[in-house]
Amino acid sequence: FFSLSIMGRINVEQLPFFTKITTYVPYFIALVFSYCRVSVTNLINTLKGNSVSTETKEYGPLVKSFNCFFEKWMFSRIMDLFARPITGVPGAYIDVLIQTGEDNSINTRKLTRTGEVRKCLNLGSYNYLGFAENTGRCVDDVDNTMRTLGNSTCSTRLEMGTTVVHRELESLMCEFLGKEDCISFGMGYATNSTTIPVICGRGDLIISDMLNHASIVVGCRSSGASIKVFKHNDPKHLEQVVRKAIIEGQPRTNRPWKKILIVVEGIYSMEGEILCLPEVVEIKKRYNCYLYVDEAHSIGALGKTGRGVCEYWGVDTKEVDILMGTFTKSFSAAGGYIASSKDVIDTLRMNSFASASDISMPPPVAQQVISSLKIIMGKDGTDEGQKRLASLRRNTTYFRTKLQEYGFIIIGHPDSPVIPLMIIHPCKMPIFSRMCLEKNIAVVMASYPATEVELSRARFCVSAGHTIEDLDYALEVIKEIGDIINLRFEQNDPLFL
Amino acid sequence: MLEVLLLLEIPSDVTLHYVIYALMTIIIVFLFTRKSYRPKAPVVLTPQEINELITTWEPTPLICNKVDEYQKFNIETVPVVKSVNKELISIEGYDNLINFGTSNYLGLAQGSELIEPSTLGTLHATGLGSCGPRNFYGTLDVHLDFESRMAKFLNVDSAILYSSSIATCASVIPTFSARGDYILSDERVRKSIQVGNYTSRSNVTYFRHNDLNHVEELMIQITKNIQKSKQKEIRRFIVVEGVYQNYGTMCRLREIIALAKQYKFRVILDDSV
Repeated sequence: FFSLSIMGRINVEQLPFFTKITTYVPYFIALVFSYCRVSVTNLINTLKGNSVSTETKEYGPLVKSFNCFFEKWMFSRIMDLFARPITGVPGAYIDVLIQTGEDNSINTRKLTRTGEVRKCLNLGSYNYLGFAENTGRCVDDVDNTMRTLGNSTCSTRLEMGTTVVHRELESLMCEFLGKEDCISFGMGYATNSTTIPVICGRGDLIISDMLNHASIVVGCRSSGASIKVFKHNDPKHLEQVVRKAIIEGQPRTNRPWKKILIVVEGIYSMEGEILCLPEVVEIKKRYNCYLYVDEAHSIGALGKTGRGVCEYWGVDTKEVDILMGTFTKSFSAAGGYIASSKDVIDTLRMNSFASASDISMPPPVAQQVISSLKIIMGKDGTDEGQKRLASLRRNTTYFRTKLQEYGFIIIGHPDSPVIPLMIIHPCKMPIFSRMCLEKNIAVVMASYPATEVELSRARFCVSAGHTIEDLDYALEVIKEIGDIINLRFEQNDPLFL
Repeated sequence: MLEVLLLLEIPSDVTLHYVIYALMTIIIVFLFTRKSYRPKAPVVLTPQEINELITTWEPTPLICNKVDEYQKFNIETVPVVKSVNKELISIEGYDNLINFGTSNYLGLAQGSELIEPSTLGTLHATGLGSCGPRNFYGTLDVHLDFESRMAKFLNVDSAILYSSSIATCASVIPTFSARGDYILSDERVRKSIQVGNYTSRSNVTYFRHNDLNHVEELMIQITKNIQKSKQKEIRRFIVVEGVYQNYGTMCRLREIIALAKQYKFRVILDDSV
């Protein structure tokens, strides 16, 4: 397993045969049981007299397809792992509201709050630089802005929705990233899904990574361009795909493509891998393509001064054509931005759906970004930004190396603050999450359909607000649980070599 | 079979052989009459040709239609708001103008004595960001409270909250309507509903604005199509807006609901304006 974890990636083909069998069997058993439950429920309903309701017969079922069956009958067993309600600030510690099912059984679709509020160590929220707080300079600035400019601009960017706060935000982001111009949007998902259709259209080719986020996929599909996919974070395969595309041209007519856009992400949130940017930039330059990097997780978290994946690798930001990012993760606000040359941004301002017909970003949110950005850049006169970045780096390295020492399977790049812990067996996943919650640790689990069926995982997001004592406590608890459910492996374990 | 052949007094094994020979001859003759299959030989380019193709390929610029002078002027002279004071608004260069430009119908966006204490209170209690999607510790009790109150206010079973106005329609319509379903939509709906219709990959038809005869015509046609193709479990939706954002007209809701009940269509109503 040691070689697997050093390599930083785990494929389904590398799993031993025994592990695969034991992973598929629980899904199969759950599927069979769910089918039985569905049939028996339908049978009882027919016998009772309230058969498939007339509404469904005449209008058609409201939802169909396997995903709905999966969610209703199989997913309900682990419903309490997801969408846990919280209260208060999602900082280093978080107050989780505990829920139970009806009659104290988890196996139902209705969860009710018991009223208990438990303070847990927060290893699940995206709070890389610890700006999720309710006291301090950021909150005071936001308070002032709320009083002068209101909660919402109630207008689009091209009408009356541009305020001094938006202008300041955009000029600060240009300075921070070293690009010519920048535009900000109210929602991070909408940034991707409404920008890509403006840039690409019919006759273009988009080459995107296999594991890109859903917003990029939606944007690429609604643009009308052709899409090709390359293997996750594999520059050699990317080069092959680009060469083949240029040689063959458009399908059926064989005319040359109008332009080729490569779409990648800075940090992949489910794998914890960092993009290999220098190789991708080299391919882009050699073959004359354009590059779009989605820095949702890496802005503010990577690099010496937090300027993202370009600074981390030492690549000039002028080499990347379009830089996109979100303010949700490191700045604890909401919304997204696109930074590029002036022509591109002017076109986006006029033609992009989200900027021409959507209400602009609320002024308090923009002010929060400005305040946190000033702290990161050091413009407020203190070195708090540098301290936070250093704390994040220290926490990342400490947590990762300790978990690997203890024998867990950790994937991803050694410097990424997203730390996935592989829990390949689906039955261990709810146990891990519930036992962690009992010991006051809040973790996030990811399984099918967000990842592949065989590769369920727990994902930790360290924050600059955690202290070493917090992480030590978390490591103790995780070690204990790992011993109980057999997640720890020795270096020479025959099961994994 | 052997008993049958015995009854007919034919030696069974000989007949069986002849039957098999006859079948094989028929098959061989049949194959001779078909055209032979010769797959197209793949085109193999020499390395020099490949090199030439790659070096001579020139892409178009990233943005083909740049903004013209008029649009540039529009972008540069957008009014920049300095501060808002209930119904007065100050923009750069002008102070204290009466605000007829923003859609702040109930005046709750700023300075309202009812709203401001609770928004500032929530800010100081929970901070600004929720730091995560709804599934991963991003659901605050404030969200759940809002959803239950909204459901009670609108007298429905439950409500769900989205973070952006354009994302709502573009996400909801593809959830319920899939490939093979039918969507009837007014031709003057706003852009986000059009995006939702397109992303859902259903058969979309736009009817003339508020023209109920056209609606009925199309509904009859769709019902006929479904009966002819005999497919089961096809859903039908009709998407309208309460007040059309781009035109200011209202939809004729009563008649549309009556028609939908008659022809078994589900109604999706976008009531944001």
